[in-house]
Amino acid sequence: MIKTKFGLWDGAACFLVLLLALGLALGLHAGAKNGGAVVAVSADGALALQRPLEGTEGRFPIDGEYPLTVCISGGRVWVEDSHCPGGDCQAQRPISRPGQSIVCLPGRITVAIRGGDGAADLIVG
Amino acid sequence: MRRTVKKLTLCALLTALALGLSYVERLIPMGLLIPLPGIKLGLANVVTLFALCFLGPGPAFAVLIARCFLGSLFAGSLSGLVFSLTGGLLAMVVMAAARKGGRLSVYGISVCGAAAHNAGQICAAMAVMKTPAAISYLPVLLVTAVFAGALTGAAAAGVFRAAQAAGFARTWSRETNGKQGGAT
Repeated sequence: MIKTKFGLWDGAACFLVLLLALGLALGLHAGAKNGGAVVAVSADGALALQRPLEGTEGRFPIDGEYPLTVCISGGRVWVEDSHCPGGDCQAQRPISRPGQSIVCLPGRITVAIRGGDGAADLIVG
Repeated sequence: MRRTVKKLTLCALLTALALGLSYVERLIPMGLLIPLPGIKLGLANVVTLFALCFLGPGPAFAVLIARCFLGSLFAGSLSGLVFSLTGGLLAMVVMAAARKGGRLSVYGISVCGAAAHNAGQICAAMAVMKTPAAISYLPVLLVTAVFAGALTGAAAAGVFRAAQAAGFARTWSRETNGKQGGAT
């Protein structure tokens, strides 16, 4: 018999999922140090662009199935002029910390900020 | 023979309903409510939950596969198939395990399914993009999964109560030789 009323165990399940999200976010944040961070853009798994986050200013066109333009300015990175029909990458807010990324799934393009000062991109467990 | 036709017809109806809900879902401006890209309610999961709880894992699996293939075909983007299939299959496994556990109501099962669906899609994205960068989006998706899962769980609870009140499980169980009908 399937219960149709929200119960204590359901609350526990929700809490567990939120705890997992928090743990993951903290893990990603712990590995984030801005000093020496670089912006890495991958297209179909291959590195298409790499620039230091700090000190870089400009717009960088990225070729691919759906070309887009990556903007780096003031220690922040965002996507402009995407030809992707979904437009999710353009809708995403600018990223500024290592571990953060902007992903264009249809175009298979990833814009990621990688950790500086030898810090890991992600700490697990 | 009659039982097989009934099962097949019901699975086809559920697949059509799931496809319809997927389409309707696109008309809901989620971006106005949650200003994040790629956020969906997952209304089609109500159908998967119904199939899983009333018909069993086999028919639910068939409905899920058919919905993923036809959805990608109608959307004209077969590249999306790997994402919907990975997310859907992981969600199905987790929901089947949660249901078997017996502790969770349809709300909890739905939330677990939504979280698993998002995790599966991020895994697919990491495999397709050949980079782990996509995992940075998972915490946000897990938080939204709790709310989206609870909402679809509420919708599923309403459907379940109506189906139980209409005696669907009893009728279905009787007509399919007492082998089906997980919810009574």
